Amino acid sequence: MATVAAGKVVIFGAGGPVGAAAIEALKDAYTLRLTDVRPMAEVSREPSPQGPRAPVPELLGAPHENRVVDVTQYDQVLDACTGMDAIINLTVVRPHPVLAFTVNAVGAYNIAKAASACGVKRLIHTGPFHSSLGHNADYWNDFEVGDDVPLHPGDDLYALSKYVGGEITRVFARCRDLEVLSFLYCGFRPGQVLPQERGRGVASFTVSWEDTGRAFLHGLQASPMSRPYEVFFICSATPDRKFLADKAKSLLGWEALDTFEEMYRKE
Amino acid sequence: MKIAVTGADQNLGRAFCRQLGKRYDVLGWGQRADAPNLSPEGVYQRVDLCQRERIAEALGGIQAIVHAALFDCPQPGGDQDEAELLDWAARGTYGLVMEAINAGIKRVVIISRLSLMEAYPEDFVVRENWMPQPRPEVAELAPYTAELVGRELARTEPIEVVCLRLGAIGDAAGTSIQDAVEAVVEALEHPPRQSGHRWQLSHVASAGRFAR
Repeated sequence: MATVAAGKVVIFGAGGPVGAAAIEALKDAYTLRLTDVRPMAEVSREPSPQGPRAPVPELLGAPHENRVVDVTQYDQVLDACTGMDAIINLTVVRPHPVLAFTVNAVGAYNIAKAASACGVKRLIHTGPFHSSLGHNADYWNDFEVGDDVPLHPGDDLYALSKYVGGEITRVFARCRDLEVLSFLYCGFRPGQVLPQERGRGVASFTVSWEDTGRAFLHGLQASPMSRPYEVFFICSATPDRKFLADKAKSLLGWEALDTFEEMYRKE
Repeated sequence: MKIAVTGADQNLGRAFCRQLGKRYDVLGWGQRADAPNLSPEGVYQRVDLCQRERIAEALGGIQAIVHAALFDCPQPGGDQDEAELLDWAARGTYGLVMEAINAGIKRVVIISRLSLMEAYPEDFVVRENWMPQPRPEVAELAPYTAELVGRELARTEPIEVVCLRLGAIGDAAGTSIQDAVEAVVEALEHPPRQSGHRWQLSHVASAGRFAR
């Protein structure tokens, strides 16, 4: 049974703003093992590198656990997955010419392999959907783009290395009795709309940090999927009909509460 | 034509160097410091595929690349070894193709494995339009990730990538070295058959379930 209604969840890459949102949403329902390449105590003391409005992870005490884990090191990943009921992989490195592949692709391999070795049934993998990559095979000019379209990362190091990591995870899902929910994101922002943002429009494929956290709760508690690897667009259902968020609603029961209507309606 | 063959310190790459050296100016690239025998004509260079500067330097004068290193890549010795091999496959292929693009090279041939398709029932007629089904093992994920990287770069960048999936070389149900070499020559000398696509994929089987 892949549904994880309660129990222990390890989060890799918990030190970022998506990790902060996940911690806030999950801390009362699960016992969390929060891991990052930097100590969580250190991360929680500093402002987010993604700006003053991006959330910073709360430093949790017992029964939760904080641990330094480098996902490129399989022994550390395996140890962190031991005894867990579910795994959330939020790790990402964007521009670094070496670490982009070792974290985004090899790290994904290590996590999927450890999940399989530990008998974990549900893994939530995460990655980007780049709405514009500057080539004609991206989906910049399309509408009603759905969750299951193949990604076309082009030569973008970040997009391509995460794409490879996702495909490796898909292989494990197919072969190793592991259910993977792959959450794709594009733009994040705070749920609160500032007065000066009203009526200024909203980008397609946007989600609030707060809604991002709730999506993990729904992902863990959702009924078993009919396919071992399911991709979900995690975004607000803005009325532009460019990117669809229907699948997360139908399979996870999640939809964004922050709709940014104040932004796309004229005052 | 001057070509580089990766994996020249492995069985298939070495065989390619020897056979292709009869018609091309061949540089065999490998990870090992000591040069394997690539006679009669091949020249060996140590080129680490994870060192892009080294690739760029070694590509001088090269007109095409045969990327054979992932067909029979070394067996991993442990968990960390697996991770390093996978990194070498994915990042190494990315660096190789990107530097080929930067050098103005027009064609790369990636050698992959027909074993990616073995999960389908044996009585199915499995062709190139079927989705690969690799096992979650580095020996299969290495060529598979190289395929993904090559395909996606060819989709958007000015380079043709031809992927040849081979069976076990010399195996009764695999691919003969003669057929493998002929397929590489065809890939090097003729443009992709599917007009408008810079990525082309061919199964090369001399016998067995994937033979035509």
